[in-house]
Amino acid sequence: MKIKLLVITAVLAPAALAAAETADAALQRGHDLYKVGRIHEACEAYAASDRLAASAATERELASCYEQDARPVAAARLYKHLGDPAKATKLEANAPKLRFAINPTPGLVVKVDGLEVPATEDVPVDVGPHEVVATAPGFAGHTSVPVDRDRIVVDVIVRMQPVAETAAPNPSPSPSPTPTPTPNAGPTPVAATAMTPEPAPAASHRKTYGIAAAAVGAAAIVTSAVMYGLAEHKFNDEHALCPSSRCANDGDLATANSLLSDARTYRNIGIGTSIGGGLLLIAGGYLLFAPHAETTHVSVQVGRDGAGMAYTGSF
Amino acid sequence: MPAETPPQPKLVGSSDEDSPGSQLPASLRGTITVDGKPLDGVGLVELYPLDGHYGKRTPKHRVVEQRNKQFSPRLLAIPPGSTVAFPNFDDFYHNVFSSSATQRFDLGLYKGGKSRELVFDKVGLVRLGCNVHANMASFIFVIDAPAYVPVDGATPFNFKSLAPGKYKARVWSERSAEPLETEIKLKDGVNTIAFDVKGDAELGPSPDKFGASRQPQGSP
Repeated sequence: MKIKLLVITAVLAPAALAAAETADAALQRGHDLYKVGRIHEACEAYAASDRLAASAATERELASCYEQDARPVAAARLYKHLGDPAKATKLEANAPKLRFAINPTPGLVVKVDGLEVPATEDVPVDVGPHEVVATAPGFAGHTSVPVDRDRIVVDVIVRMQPVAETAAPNPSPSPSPTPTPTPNAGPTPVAATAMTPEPAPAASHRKTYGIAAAAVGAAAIVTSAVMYGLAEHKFNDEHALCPSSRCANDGDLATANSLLSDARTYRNIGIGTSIGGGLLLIAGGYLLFAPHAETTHVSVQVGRDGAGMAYTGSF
Repeated sequence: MPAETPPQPKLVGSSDEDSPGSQLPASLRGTITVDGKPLDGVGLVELYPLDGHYGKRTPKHRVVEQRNKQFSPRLLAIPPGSTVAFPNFDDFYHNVFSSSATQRFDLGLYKGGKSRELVFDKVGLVRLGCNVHANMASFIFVIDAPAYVPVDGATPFNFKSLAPGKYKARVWSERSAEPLETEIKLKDGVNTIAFDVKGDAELGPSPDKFGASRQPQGSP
């Protein structure tokens, strides 16, 4: 054991020393580059040094370098870390800012260059290109924003597009594919969600089926909420396009009609899934908490225009 | 560099410009076509004597400016060891970078009125980009050939002063992934030729300096 430790120490010690030397060398390279005005390369050298051996002194050099390299927000981040929030605030005040125009969607998350930012506030950024990604349950949007001026406010419009959601868990075997309704399912009828255990479940399976029914029911309720949200979104878009049902031109009228059609479809799907989900929740609760029954049989049909459920059992 | 400095031309650098007064007896005129069609963009023709006897050229000091969200010149040909200044004449930030294998660099962001310089000492093609403005592109050819001329579209190129003999010609266009290489023979007097290159290069903005692909921006 001692021999192994000695070997490891012998291997690691020079490596650590080399890292320290490299950090010092990188720092010195940064100083040399900074002196001759090669600011961007100097910043890269300071950053490399800080990665190898982080220190407050190096970070202060790096922050100062970033200021000279037109990266006030990166500098501000470092100054905050170094306990100088006043300087950070001053730098951010002069930085360009992104102002988002994104439909307020429940669960909205906005990220700029991978970092989460508030969606309703101006976000200071450095000059340069920025990637803005917005996500919400059932939606995603993305845009690239080139920022090339100081002190400007750049309006960032992110169009949220419906995206396919992960299918709800469906622990029971299904006789045919039963996709969970997705926001872009459009007029496609929701396939029947059936839970028809055959033969009749044994008593030991009651709990499993109860949990499954409740889980599918809950997923259906969530889906219905998404559908209602979508419908609302489409109705709002239609109202915005043609206020008081008055459209500016034929093109707007056609778009408004399409939006209305989509909205109604989503609403109907929402109604269907909410009824089905509610019934499944009741069935799940019954299976879980009701007195023992010899056989049960639950089948639920959820369609575009409604839902139905049959629950039979011999007790 | 003063703001009133006149704009750079579209093409800069040719052996005839770099060696004025040369009085050799052969000349070569010609055109570049891409897959049989007139060149749309810029190109370059280099000539290497097959006997291998030619001298080195003196490094130059050249300018690639950033003005109206464009690099100018679009194509610059320079001998190895040349220094290129990159002044920004716009009133907003630009960046100059290259991910070309010949010389990778990133000059960072700098405002209008500022300039950065770089020495180019490796032979080859350096494609320039701006990390802020995806549509900006330019090409620097670092050339050790004794004879070279940039080409603008379908406009014929012209080598005014060449020694008769056999040459290896390297012909590139911005529409081509790789240059065409062929041998030619020049006699005394006027020679003419037409080079046809493949149009197999990917069009559109180059990837950003981190390698991510970019979409064209609304206006140049």
